[in-house]
Formats: sequence, structure tokens, C-alpha cells
Amino acid sequence: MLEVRMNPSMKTQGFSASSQVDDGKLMTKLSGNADVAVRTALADFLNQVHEAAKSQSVSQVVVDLRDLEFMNSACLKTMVTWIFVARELPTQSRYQILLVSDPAVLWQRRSVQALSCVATELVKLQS
Amino acid sequence: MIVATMLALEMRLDRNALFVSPTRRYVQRMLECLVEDKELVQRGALAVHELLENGAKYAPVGAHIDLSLALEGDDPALVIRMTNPTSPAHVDRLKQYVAEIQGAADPNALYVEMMCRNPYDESVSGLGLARIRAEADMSLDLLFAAETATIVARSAAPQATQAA
Repeated sequence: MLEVRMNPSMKTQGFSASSQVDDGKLMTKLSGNADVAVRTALADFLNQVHEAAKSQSVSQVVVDLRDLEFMNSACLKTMVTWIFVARELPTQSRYQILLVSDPAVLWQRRSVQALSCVATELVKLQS
Repeated sequence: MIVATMLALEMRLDRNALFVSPTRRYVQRMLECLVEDKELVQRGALAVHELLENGAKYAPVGAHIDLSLALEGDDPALVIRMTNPTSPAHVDRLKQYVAEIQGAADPNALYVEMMCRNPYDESVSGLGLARIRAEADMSLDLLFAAETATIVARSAAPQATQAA
């Protein structure tokens, strides 16, 4: 039987998010402007990412933020919620989260640093 | 003491979240033309965004939000003021919230702590002003008149800002 797996993706005016599985990792990319208009869509996307990561037993979810112009505090809170949900998984099925940011962009540098402090054992940073 | 003001910008916006991102971009581009310190430009843009979203959320329907920016002093310091009408109940919450931020010995630790409060409630972030203090490294003050609140965000002198 052919099994087709759709990786999460979404697009709104001014913001998009996509994902693909590569070498046992779920690679996601956020682009555009994540302001208050995007919060619900981002929450839905991260829920789908969580379900995909579980069902495909990936070891890591990579979130590439480098093409993101800005993320507001409401969307950051959505990221925090996702991190807490991921942390609830049993240890054997838990995936790591790698946040990839551009160190030249102040909000990216500072926001990912704060997000990593929420769950130091789960969230790693790459710049 | 007379403090020289090198730049002053005043804007009046409708209470509408749609204006927030375009205003942040406008302010960022304006500051890029006038301020050499690229970090200060980004700090100012972040603060403007979070202040305006706060105003758009808590001002009553039909109200206006007043935003002003000024570069003051020789260093210079960036001073952002946002004024909007709001309810007495929100004023009380705002006083408590800002007092907690002002009293924090470590703004970054408080910011992370606030992230972890009610982590599953995505309806309210409660992070905007704490983010201005921690990520934009700007002090916060509150002024009240009748049912109008003014939040003032002020950058420290460049040499006093934190290293990332």
C-alpha cells in the first residue's frame, strides 16, 4: 500500500512556513513577517509539525528563522507553547528542536536565546 | 539641564493592528538614515512594534494611538512614547506589569520566567513590554492622565547597553 505523507506547510499574505524530512530531521523554514495576523496560522502549523515529527519519528525539528523579517511576542508565545508540548513527549520519542537564526538580526539573536532558556535540554541554537 | 533633541517624529494612528508592521518598517528605515548604530535602529523598531500592538489591543474601538520618537542627548538615547486611551482595569494591570519589569534585577531572567507562565495559553502573550526591556534593552516608564496611558521606552547610552 502506498503511504503518502504530506509535510506541514502554510502560506498567508506576507508569511509562509514549509517543511520537509531530510536525513531523519524535519526541516522547517519560516519566511516573511510574523505579526499578530499570523499567530493562529503559526500555531496550527506548529501543531502539524509536532504531529508530523511524532508520526515520522524524527530525531530533530530544525526551524530556520533566517528569512523571517520579524516575529512579534504573540508568535513567540506560540513557539513557547510548542516547546512545552514537545517537552511532554516520553523521552524515547522526544525530538530535539534546533533554532537557526541570523546573528546580525537583533530580534532573532535575542529571541532564540530566550527561547532556548525555556527548555535548555530540548532547544539548541545555530547561527 | 537642557537635553538636545536631534530627531522628533510624531504620528497619530487609528487603533488597528494592520498599521503596526508598516509603521515598524517606516520607523526602521527612517532611523537607518539617521542613526549610525545599527543595533539601536533594530532595538527601536522592535520597541515600536510591541508598543503599537499593545496599544491596538487595549485601546477602545475608534480610539487613536499617538506615537512619538526622539533622539535625545549626545550619546544619543532613543525615546519612544506611545499614548492611548484605555480602561481603568487595564491601567491597574499595566501598573503591576511595568512595576514588575522595572523591579527586575535581571530583565532577561524575568523575560524567560514570563515566557513560562501559562505556557499553554496562546490567547495572551503577556510578553510585549518585557521583551522591550530584555531584547531591546530599553527602560520603561508609565504616565497616566484620566483614562489615558503613556508608555515611555528609553534606550540606555550605547556604552551601557548589554552585549548579546
